[in-house]
Amino acid sequence: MIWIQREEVDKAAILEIVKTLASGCVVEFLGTVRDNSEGKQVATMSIQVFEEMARKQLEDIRRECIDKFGVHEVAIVHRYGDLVVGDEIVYIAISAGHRKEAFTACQYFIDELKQRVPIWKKEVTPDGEFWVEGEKRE
Amino acid sequence: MRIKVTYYGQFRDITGLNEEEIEAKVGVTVVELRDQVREKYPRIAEKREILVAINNSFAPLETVVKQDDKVAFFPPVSGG
Repeated sequence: MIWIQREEVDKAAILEIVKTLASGCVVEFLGTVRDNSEGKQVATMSIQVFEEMARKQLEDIRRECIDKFGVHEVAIVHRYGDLVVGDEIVYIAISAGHRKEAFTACQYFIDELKQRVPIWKKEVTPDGEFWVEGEKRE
Repeated sequence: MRIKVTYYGQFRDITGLNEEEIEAKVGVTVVELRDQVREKYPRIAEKREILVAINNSFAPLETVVKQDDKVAFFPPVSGG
């Protein structure tokens, strides 16, 4: 389950979708807009997405999580558009039989997302607007 | 042949464009097309990494680009 949207994240609804009767846990990750970046004050953030490719990449990562770690359900919401400090950017929820595979899959998902999902952040600070430099792709 | 390319992230600011058509030779590879973009936009050439996608997948540098391919150029991603 993948959502790429401007709207706020309905975490409670997604949690209900992800939970299964066979699952012993759900691990969640929530990424939010910080008020600072490399010593600069951040006021707002603009997020751009290459939606068609991002959806495909997110689906690939979701499938990898299930295949590699045996988790039950994986849901991801990534927002785009104009956000302010404290806003939620990304929400990942993963259910599994036991916590270890759920934590491992969640870490894998966010790490892969930061490497290969075509989404970019631009921070607005008192000194101007700055694109966030992504990590080099291995 | 003319190939439609799309820019994302900072590359939109640098080029001032969302997309454009680039004239390229038949049989052009990803690395050759990337070099053409670098030559046209020196500020893109300064970037430590330029990512290229064809038809919504990351493309190896030796891939031959076809006329109807959807080519996208963008900097390293920074979502999450």
